[in-house]
Amino acid sequence: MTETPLKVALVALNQPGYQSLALGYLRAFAESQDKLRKRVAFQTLDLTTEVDACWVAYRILRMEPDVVGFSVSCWNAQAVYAACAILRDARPETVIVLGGPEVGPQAEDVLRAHPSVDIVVRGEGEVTFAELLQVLVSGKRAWLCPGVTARNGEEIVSAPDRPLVDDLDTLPSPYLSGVLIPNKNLSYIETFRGCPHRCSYCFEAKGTTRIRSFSQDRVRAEIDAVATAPGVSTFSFVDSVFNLTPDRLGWLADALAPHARRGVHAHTVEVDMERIGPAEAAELQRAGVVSVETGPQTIGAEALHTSHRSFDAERFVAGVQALKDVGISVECDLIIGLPGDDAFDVIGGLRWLLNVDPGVIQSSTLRVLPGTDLSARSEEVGLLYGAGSEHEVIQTPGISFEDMRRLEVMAAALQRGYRARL
Amino acid sequence: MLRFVDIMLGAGGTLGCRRCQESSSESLRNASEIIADLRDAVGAWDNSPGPNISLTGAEPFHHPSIAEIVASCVEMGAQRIRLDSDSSALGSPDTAKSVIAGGVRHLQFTLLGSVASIHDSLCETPGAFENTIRGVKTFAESANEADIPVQVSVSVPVCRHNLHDIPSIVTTAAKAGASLVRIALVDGRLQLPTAAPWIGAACDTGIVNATWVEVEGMPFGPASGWELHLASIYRPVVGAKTAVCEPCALNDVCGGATWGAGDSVVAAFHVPADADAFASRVHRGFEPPAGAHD
Repeated sequence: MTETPLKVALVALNQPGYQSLALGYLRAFAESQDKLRKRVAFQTLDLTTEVDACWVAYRILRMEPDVVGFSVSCWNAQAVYAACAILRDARPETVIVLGGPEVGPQAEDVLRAHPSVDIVVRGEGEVTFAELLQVLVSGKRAWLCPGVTARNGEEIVSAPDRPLVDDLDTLPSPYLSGVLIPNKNLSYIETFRGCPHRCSYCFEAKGTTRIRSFSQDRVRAEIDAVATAPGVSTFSFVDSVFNLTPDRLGWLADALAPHARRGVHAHTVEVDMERIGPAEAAELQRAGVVSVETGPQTIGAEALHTSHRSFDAERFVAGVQALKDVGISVECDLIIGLPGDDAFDVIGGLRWLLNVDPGVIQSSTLRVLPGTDLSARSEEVGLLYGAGSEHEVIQTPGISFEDMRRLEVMAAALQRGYRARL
Repeated sequence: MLRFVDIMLGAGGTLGCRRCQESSSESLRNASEIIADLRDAVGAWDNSPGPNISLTGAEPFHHPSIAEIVASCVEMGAQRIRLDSDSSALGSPDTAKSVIAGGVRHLQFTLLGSVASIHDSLCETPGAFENTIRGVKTFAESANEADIPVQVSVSVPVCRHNLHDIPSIVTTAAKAGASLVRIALVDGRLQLPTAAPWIGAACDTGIVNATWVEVEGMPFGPASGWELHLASIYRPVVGAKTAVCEPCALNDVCGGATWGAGDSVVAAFHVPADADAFASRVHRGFEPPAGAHD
């Protein structure tokens, strides 16, 4: 008699037009596992945060899944929780699993606050999720699986953390495995995990500056797959620092250049601006990079110190100029509300960036994200932020609630005026 | 912070309260003079983002050579071109589209009142309000259709006759698509301590409507609690201060009182207790980061 496979729905609520790279990795790895072959069947559902929770639930329930896995970030968490609540009522037997940066660092709190959720996968999800599915298939207890936090009756239990994957090439490519079809101009490639910086507001480094890379061959193959997909004329990278080392930038440019010559470009790659000179700018141009995104996030000395960020104004300006000289568009980001900044530091940052004249200036209000250094030190540095999943800062010791709102509106008007140009 | 240089198309075309000032007939300069001014302005532009040109002083659409003047701005390398216009000519979609295609990215119009009955009465031009709002909306819609970023801003000259209406004017401006409202106190006889709550309310109205309100002609004293709205925070005021204020700790960061304000108005001010510290913070907002070459 044939065993009925466990039906798994992987669901992401994205920004319009995007598909979840994270779920692509999860599915590609799980499908590569012999122990799950023919025992688990996957369907991926990429919806948007604009879809009403009732319709998200409707789409999922039509699949009659045994397990639903959601990828959760701060910007879609409320929508996910709302859908979970409906799913729990409508189909109580379905196991609801959450993972992602919003829930992993606060797994027990999430389970306490959301009775509809059964399990949270913490940290890097591929291996843990696949192992969790094996556990569910075999009817064992989920909370024994490393990297998982789950319910054991009324109790919430966290199994030990799972170590990070040492060799990233053991994770099959979502693109090369056919799990993800490159999306017209909205696809992302990952060439390494981690970040060399430890900015206190960012979750990218996850507490370590260790960098783990995919092999050059793997990255080249992914670039070729995405860049030659029908309808793709531009794509991007999720890497925290695209110009991580000169050597790395060189081979990435080698891989990208043939596609650039065909008119397929990379957009909005994140760079360390202080490490860009004419040579690096030329490499980015050769790679077909048309736009980059960078800091400085703040120029206030105290906020830079509190945020564990370094900043060299002179080299930053030289980097922007080098990129502008080769026609690469630069977006500079500022964060409003970093501890240590007052309103005049923010205004000073905007004024200085205007004079740097990068092309695009984008400000955003600080979010105190779970698992970050700032989240751990929020009381110490006096940050007040929203209790909900948006985590947006309400006020800081240097900036009152009212001035925070004033700075947001002022900066938005300034950015609009700056962008309105020939 | 985004600097524009005014190029005068003429004189006498500025919309204002006719109860405060007599109407003057509009005179237009000839195009060659204007283009010479443009050339000087572009040539003298510093290293701030730009050159940014504001065509003002007379109604741009009354000038027979406005298309040529805008084209000259583009040819000389202007990054941002702003028309200071009553916008009534932009009610025609064809005109709005051609103005945007010609290179205009900023439109500033003047509102004296939040509704037609007040605005038209103060400028003594029946129909002016509706024509202006129609033109502004058509401009914004045309830019949106062409996916071209533009900025609409509103100038509000404040006098005794419209002071109580300025919070509503901000709402009207926001509804018309403005992201920036410039309130300028132009009436020296306004009792500023009395006016301050209305101006503060206008600023707050802007915040809840996501429209930034910037105030000129208001010293820091009566603006306590909403100083971030004062233009002096964003533009250096050294040498621009009117003579009526006594020197104080805020002397080189405060824009001072409205031109024409009397001693009695100034006497009602108080210098904030933490003026020195505040002045030092304002200064910091103008300083480049350590290591930067200004």
